[in-house]
Amino acid sequence: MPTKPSHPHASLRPPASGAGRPGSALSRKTDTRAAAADLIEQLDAQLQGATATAIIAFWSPAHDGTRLLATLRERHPSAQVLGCTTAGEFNERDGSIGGVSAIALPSGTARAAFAAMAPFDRGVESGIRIAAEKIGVMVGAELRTLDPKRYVGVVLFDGLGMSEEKANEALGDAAPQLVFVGGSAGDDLAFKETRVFLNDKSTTNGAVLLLLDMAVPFTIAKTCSFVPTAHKFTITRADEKKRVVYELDGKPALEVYAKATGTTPEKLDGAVFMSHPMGMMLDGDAWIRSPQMAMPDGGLRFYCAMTEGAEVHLMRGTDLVGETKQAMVQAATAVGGKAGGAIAFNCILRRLEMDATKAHEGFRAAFAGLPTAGFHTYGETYIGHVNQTCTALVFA
Amino acid sequence: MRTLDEVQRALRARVGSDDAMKLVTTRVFLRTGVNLKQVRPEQNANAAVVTKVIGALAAVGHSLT
Repeated sequence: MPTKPSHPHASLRPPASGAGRPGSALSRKTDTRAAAADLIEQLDAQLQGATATAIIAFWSPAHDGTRLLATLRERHPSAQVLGCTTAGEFNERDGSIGGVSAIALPSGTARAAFAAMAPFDRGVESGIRIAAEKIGVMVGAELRTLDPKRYVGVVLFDGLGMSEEKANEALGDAAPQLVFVGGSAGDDLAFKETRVFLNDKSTTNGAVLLLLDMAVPFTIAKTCSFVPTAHKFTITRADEKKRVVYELDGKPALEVYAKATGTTPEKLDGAVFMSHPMGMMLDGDAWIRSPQMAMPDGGLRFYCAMTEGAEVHLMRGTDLVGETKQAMVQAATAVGGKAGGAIAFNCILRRLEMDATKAHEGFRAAFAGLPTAGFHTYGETYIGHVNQTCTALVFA
Repeated sequence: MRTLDEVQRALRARVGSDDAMKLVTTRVFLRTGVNLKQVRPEQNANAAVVTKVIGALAAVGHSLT
């Protein structure tokens, strides 16, 4: 389902002359030093001497993230340098599993970048709150007072902590007028350890927050290739913390879901789940919740929290590539007719669908000519946590 | 406030721009499952739901009480 870009923002002033255009890079080199050198060469060629305010990179867990970022920081000492491990990387020209993608934002795109690590060791809410306060000190104002037409956030979560809902709520509490977009780190489908990095620090239990003071118009694109079917249910019993639904319309969730998808609870598997996620519909816009597994206790576990009392639709798939292209066209319109770059967060389940349908080239074509860095995630963020979606910060 | 319709009206009176209204109602929707723009009849006067929504709004800086 295509989603209209939300909250298009006008720029306050045009980019300063000579402030550069963003550069994107992708390296398939497996040696981290070689990959870092490759990225720097590609980025330098596009930045043409402009100073980067932020460099955002996404890489396979096979790489040494600390070394990678140290090398990027050496080349761009005044930039905020951040990133995370992935389940595949892409830019507008190429994609990889085992590689690195990166984007460098010059001052002509983002006047300034402010970032903080939010470790969750002492709680998710306090981690986010303290990080938001730190960024507020850097900016010189509380985040809740900042102009949403000028500032936008990027957030990277560790992908296995199941903390995204709490963390997004805490972000909403700290900065209710600002939009954060992002994704949850991956580990090439090993599901053992995911890691987020900021400059010389990293964590497997937390998030990295980046706040950009944008010099150009920007918007958020959010797209999923699903539309609602006629099957609609109310969640009547759920364990929200564990993301498990036990009852839909007062009946056992597994039975209800299986019947609606035309099968039986015993035959529910990954293929059924992938092709029939649930969606919460708001003004025609789908917020996807993907089932993960049938639980032995009769529950249906999701990759996203399910709220008791919420109405959910059984969804059916449409055209992933076509709708991604449409979303990017709409985003370009929202930023004034021509986009200048994007940072994209694409669900691992969409990558698996793209693997099966050989759709990677078509997917990347949605970003053609547009400096882009993205990765295949264990969860996507736009205001809240979603599944089987591609979210992107798109700027002029 | 006893109904979600009342909550919606009070919120609308506080929030000026459509963009800001869209953002806050999306936040409430994702936290509570309640669409304040299209309140479901069975939820409208449900005291627990109204309390939950008022709490979510207060958390994002819109204290209606």
